[in-house]
Amino acid sequence: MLQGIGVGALLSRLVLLTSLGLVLLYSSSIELAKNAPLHMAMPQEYARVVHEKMVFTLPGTDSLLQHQVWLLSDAQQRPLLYCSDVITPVCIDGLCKPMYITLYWNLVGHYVGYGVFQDNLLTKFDHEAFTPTDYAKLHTLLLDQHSILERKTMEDLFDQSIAAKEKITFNGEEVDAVSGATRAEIKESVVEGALYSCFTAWHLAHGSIKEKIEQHLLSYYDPVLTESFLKSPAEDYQLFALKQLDLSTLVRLLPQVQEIFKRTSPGIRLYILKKLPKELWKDEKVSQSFFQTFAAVDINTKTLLLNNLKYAHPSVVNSLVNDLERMSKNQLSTFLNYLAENRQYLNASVKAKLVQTAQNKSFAESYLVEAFVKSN
Amino acid sequence: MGRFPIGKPYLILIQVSEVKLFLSILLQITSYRRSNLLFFGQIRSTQSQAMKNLCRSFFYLLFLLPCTIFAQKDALIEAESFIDKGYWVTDPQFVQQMGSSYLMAHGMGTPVKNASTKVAMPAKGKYHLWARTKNWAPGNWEAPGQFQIAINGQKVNHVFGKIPNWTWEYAGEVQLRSRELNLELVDLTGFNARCDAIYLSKTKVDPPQGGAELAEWRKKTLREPLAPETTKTYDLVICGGGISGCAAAIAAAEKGLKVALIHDRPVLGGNASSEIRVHTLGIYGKFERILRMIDTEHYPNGSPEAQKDQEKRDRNVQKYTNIDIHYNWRAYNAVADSGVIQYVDAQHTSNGKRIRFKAPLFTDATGDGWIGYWAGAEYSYGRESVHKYGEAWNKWGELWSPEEADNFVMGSSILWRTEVAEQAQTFQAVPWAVAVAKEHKATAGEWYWEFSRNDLHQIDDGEEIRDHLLRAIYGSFSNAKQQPGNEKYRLQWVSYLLGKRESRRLIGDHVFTFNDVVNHTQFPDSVVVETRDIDVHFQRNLQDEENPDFLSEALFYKTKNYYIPYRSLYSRNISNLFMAGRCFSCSHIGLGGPRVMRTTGQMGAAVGFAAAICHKYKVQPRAVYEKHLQEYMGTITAQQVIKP
Repeated sequence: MLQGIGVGALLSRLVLLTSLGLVLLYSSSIELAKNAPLHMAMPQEYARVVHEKMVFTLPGTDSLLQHQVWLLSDAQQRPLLYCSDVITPVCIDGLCKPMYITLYWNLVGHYVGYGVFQDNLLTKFDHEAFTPTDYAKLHTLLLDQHSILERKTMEDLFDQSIAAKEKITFNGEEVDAVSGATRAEIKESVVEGALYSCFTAWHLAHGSIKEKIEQHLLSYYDPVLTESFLKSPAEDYQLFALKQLDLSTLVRLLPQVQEIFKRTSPGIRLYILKKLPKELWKDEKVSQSFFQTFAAVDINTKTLLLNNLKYAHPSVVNSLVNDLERMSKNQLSTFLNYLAENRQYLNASVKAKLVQTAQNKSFAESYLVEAFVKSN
Repeated sequence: MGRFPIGKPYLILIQVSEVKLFLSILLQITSYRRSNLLFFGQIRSTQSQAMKNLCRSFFYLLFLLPCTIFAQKDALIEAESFIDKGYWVTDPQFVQQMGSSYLMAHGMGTPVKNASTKVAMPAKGKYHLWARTKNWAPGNWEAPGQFQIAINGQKVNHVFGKIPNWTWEYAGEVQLRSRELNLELVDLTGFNARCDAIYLSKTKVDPPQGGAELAEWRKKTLREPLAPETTKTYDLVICGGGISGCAAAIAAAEKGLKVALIHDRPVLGGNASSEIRVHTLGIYGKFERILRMIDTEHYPNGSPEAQKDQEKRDRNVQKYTNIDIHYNWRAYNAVADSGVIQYVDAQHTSNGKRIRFKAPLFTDATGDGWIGYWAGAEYSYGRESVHKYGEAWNKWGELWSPEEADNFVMGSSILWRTEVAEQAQTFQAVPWAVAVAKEHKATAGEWYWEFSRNDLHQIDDGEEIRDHLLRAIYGSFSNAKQQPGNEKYRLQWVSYLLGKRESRRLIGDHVFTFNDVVNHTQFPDSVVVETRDIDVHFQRNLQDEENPDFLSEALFYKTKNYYIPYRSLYSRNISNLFMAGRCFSCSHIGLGGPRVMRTTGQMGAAVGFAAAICHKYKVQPRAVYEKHLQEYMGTITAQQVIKP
């Protein structure tokens, strides 16, 4: 009996895959991506799309399927986005049905949006149509690079649905047999009744596509793109461009790098500070431009700035001494140790500020400054 | 006898007759002879040291007693040695940083029951009073942890805990009308007030505030001998009773070795213990039989279910009569001569006694790699440059492995848990937590409550990391309590022990890296097998600084089987040192997969069996690989449970 069901499921799967293959064969003659994005994180880029070109194929979740990936570009043939019409089986417990979706990625391979096939809209609970809220939730899920779905296999999700039924009681309190937080996190992030579609779409949007697109990008990456990436508000573009910079280009484009430093995320700031050649710090203007941000930047960046103090132009001491109260205990120790080893920079105004800080009892670490003042 | 008014700086106490004092001292001596414990408790004053000397000769005592008593001018009482700790907890986590175990009032916002002890002072009269303590969240608010000292039931009019950093906080002068004292620590807030020690002195000279100077002063004041007075000898000394240490002990014991298992907590299991409550992950490899004795169910992290596995684990390790479990002993030194560890010294976390442990073989299962560190073993800390071992994964770039090395290791966690009461519950405002928790609201914790920052070292700054997480928890819970619907929530349990993921990694003959996972490298000495994803964490605020700094994100590299060779489980340059657990020989990324506790348990078991080969042939760990590999691998393979 059981065996019979298995064979039946297998047959239905084969039929489905064959029909999907035919659909794909047919659709390969279509030159333009069929579906405009329903949700799009880079609408300005999409608005400029004029040309489309098929650039490579992407293996689907099933080896029988190959998805064509298209590069979208503007009127001047400058690249903007990638997209792919994806038709893929969503299989639950041996039963499969196709899911139709158009996925969009930016030039470094990060998911940015999706579109739907009007004649094959997404459904939940087998037949209910997605609501606008469901579509928005799917977009939010797909934007999350670190979704809990990444850690899960289809089997995990299936097992979990069983495990969730088995509750254990401890001291009168009901807890989930599997980690409650995990279940809550999954429930919170997916469209209810469409777990498997969400799972499949997420893994397509975040699978091997990223590395494929990055490889493709490198095949045409040029100085124009470098400048454009450095000016972009998209942090993944900034980081990609920064990583490609050789030292001479970095020096040439330093003003742009400094601009990024002011407005970007902590992780990229740290990358910039690490990449900056130590000899550049000797330049007073360079040193000042970075250290002037000290008050505004996050605590991890502050640490790295202070770690570079030994390479920096000594004039930064005069501004840093005004930010003692913004330093953590260890950061303050780094600064005071530097002063102890470079007493020539202990001028009258620096000393006065140190004394003032030592007396500021509302500053938790003032005792460190007080000890420094006493011993120097 | 009667009650006397108390006022700062004088404290008038009940007067005791000289005769009573003399009798009490005689009683102490009798007691000391019998049980090696002081009758009046664990006062570690200069007088108590004198008592030891006096025990040697009663006549000597009669001559010396008066001058011994009246010549002494001070008494140092270690808080952790209090006879009755009430509901204060002993915290030995930061001994190496701040100098001592200490007592902490971990009441989750409700003041805890007083800790108390009896003290026999050298003489009555006026004394200056200090307590070594710390305001653990200083700022423009009332200090979170505050306490008072009561002497013979009367509170001294000084509130401790208001000065940042570990400090001898001076409380003024007290008048002692008796030589017998009942000292109490009176918690005022329930929010982690802490007391390292109390010092009473006739002279007003501040003790040294910290560092080597304080350590020296402590030794001198307590008249501690240069070396521990007791020496114990074993076939194998294992430091750290987490899952890897337990597995090592069991494996070695089953092969007949006499094993010392030194552990600084009252229960075994480390991160898996009922005190930290992380469930064990990973596979059993070839050691299912041993690991099932000590692992956990897959309970939700932080669940009180951890208790059931705790009882199982302690019971199972205790049944080995040749494992000498030293609960509540913390190693503080390891001395090597020509690359060979001669001994490890450990101290009891409450009574301060010390033991020297000698053995031909040692295992560092401390997690932080302390034994290797003290003995001079080579070690690494931080994230290697991507170029060092070629560990790039383009998908995550810098988040995975940076171009330039840094110290952004995975962070430590404090798990916590709430429950829903029948009635509405209040939770007071915690202004001292706002700077950390900000607007974040939560009624439960999980593994991703994790803290790492690049100016903080996971060992050197452990106390600050723990305290930061406490602020995150109390602050986020307080925020959640303001939300409608959360009225009945109350804190059920908050750990005060750091669940650490990563710190020092001792370097062995093989450094296990990402490549060993990617390539599924099989070694002739593969003793550990794992299938778990590589799972390395980073702080969420690196991507968006609006995120709370105490939440992390995980990066997963999915994989099939990978193997860890035996050569990653002994030190490259300390010839008789094994390591098991997260301080094994690996890179930052290499640690990402096998850092979970069934895998570290496999390492422990593999080390235990290697120690047995070393013992049998009187050789050191490297020789097991070089000369006895076939026999060793045979032992390992024989462990595998073949299921029908």
